[in-house]
Amino acid sequence: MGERYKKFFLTTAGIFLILIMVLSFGGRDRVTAIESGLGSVILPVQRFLTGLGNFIYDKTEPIVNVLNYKTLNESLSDENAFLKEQIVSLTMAQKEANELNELKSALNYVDRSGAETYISCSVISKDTGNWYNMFTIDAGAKQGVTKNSTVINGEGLVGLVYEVGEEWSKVIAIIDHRSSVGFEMLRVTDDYDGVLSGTTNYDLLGELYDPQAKVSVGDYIVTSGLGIYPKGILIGKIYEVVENKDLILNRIKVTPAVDFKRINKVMVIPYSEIESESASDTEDPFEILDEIQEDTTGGE
Amino acid sequence: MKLRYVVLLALINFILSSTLFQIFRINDTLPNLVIVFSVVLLALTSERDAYVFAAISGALQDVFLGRMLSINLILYIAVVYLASRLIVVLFKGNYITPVFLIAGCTLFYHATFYLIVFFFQATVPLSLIYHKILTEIIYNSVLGMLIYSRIFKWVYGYKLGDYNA
Repeated sequence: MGERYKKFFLTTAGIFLILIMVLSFGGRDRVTAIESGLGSVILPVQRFLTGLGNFIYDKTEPIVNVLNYKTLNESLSDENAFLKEQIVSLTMAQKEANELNELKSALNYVDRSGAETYISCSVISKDTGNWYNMFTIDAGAKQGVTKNSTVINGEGLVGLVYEVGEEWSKVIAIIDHRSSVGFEMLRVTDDYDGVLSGTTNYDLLGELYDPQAKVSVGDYIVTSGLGIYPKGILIGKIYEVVENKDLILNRIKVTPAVDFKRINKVMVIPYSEIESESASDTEDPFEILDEIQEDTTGGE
Repeated sequence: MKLRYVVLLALINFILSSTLFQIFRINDTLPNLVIVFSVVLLALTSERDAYVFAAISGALQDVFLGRMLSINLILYIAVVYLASRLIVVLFKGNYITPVFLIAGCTLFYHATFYLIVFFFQATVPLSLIYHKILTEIIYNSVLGMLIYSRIFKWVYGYKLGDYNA
């Protein structure tokens, strides 16, 4: 009887756990109060230990990587030369932008894109497994973080908020295999679009929508604004263009701008804000046209 | 071993693995100390301790860093179950025993994990992950043998592999 009861209990518990697994897949908007409370309790300890770990890593990393510095120096010299060329073209673009700004003020154009509210926070813990690339940050619903919020840092795009607790949130890094980011080239002309996904090995694999697209190694790519991520956030630099005639779409390999091994401070752009902003953007063109027409006729 | 110490060990292990121990990644791979400690507890203390440790560690990993709840909880319990079936036919005072058990359990964990996430269409191609799995098996086995030998001496009062004791 005891054995039968044990088997019944184990089967029921197993089914219950599998059900929880199915229901929780894809992430929840908010975690339960118990999970949230437990997270808040261990958060200070994790924050301190992660800080200590980063400090040790920063101090030991130059010793460990001393042999790589020659290659790094050479690649930085090449990049420096490339950036000097970019400065010239960007200065020209800046002049053009200034002229357009003057025109904008002459037409009394109302600027709709207000400053976005960023939430600054720290990475407090990283994935203990080796399958996915997830981490937790010390900002949650209390600070205004919502599910699907974009996470960035000073270097570029970091990832997406997966689940939100009261004072902490789970984030999926863009280098995670299941992540998907719409991108475009950081160019004035030939603005090719595509989609990137992670490889779990600190680089990204992308496909360009245009089969005739011409891209080259060293090109920078940014978010295209298609999907969840807002437009114009730096993702990384192309380090290989895969040339395979069997593939319909062109493939690229990208080094992320963010150093995920040293990630410490991040910023969160709440999702709802982006949504409402893009919604207001869709209403804008007609209103703006009306305003301009009114202004110009009023001026005459 | 008192239950509260097992709970504390699971909590400390999770906190350290997700924070400070991140600097000990080799080939971008972190050792799975949950499997290591589960096997050590199972072999050297009691089956109950191993199950409690595995369940709490799995739950913590799922809640704070998992894609879905209860996947690690189920897998770690299954790992302890598998190890508990094997340990009855193995000699505990041998260096090979912890290495065999930990390497086997790590392989079982990853194979089952792959199978489960495959059905959720959340899998990572094996070509991208196999080197991490191999590194983890070696890393876990080496660490496991060191931890096992230390605790073995503490529990039994003589060195692991000392057949004259």
